[in-house]
Amino acid sequence: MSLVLPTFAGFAQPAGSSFSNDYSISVDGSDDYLDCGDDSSLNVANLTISLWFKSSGATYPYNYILTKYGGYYGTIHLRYTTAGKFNFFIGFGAFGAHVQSDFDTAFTLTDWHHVALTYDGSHIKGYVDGSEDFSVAETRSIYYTSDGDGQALHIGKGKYANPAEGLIDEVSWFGSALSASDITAMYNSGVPTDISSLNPVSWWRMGDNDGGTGTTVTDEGSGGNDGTLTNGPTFSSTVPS
Amino acid sequence: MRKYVIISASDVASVDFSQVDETSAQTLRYNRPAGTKTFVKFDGSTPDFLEGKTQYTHSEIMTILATEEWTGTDFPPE
Repeated sequence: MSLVLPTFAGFAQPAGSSFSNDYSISVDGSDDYLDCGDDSSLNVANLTISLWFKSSGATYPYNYILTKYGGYYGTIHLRYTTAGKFNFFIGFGAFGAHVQSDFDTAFTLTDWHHVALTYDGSHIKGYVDGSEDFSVAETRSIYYTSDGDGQALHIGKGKYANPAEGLIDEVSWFGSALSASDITAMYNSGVPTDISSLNPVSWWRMGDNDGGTGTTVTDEGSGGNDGTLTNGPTFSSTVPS
Repeated sequence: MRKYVIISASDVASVDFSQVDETSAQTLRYNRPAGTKTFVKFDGSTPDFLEGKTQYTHSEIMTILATEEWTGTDFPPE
């Protein structure tokens, strides 16, 4: 008997591929994070950010899952709130100008969720668990200029304070706004899948391909932006499944 | 169990970063905006340079870090 596995548009799993997801990183909400550096390859005009997150606490009104420094307040923040909503912040157009908002829908953030944020030059869209959650019109350019604090991408913390507490997995960064069908396929009914065919600029697998040891998280995208575990985050074997 | 110790900024020079989870003096989180205190965390036995200082559990330090002294007031807009 032959077994035929389902496939998704845009996802060409190579023959013999051995994709597996065995690790995430655990951040404790105090000061630990993944430092992904400040390479200009992350300063993309159109954008998709995708990741999996499972909260273990929401100490602050806005808790930072990731931050890209730049602008005045930072260029890009992805946060979650005590109300169970994801929240985004993107600096646009000029120093200090920005758009920020909660996503529309509240979730039980102590469960694993896939969250994605896209910008295509006309709209910012947020997706949770493969479905579009909000869309807002925006046509300005993302403002990447540094305010003197650099342009680093930190996963697990904000520019100032209020870091995330929980598990973070499969963070990817793209130089284009992926389609709704691509996002749905990435969600894959709640199980991370191989996204290499979507050509991410960066794809931090959070321990997979690094053996779940050490302090380096290898970037599996084209950007070569290897991350460094900073201030004691740990690898976890709890992953979306 | 991981323990957390708040130290004065002036004591950072005495921290042996091989004995705590923090990476370096440059990656420490300080109270804001004063910048007079920071903290380190460790697993296992207490490093000598932290002996005699108050140790906090994770839940205790998170309660402290949620106060305005540590979060500051100059957030990005929310």
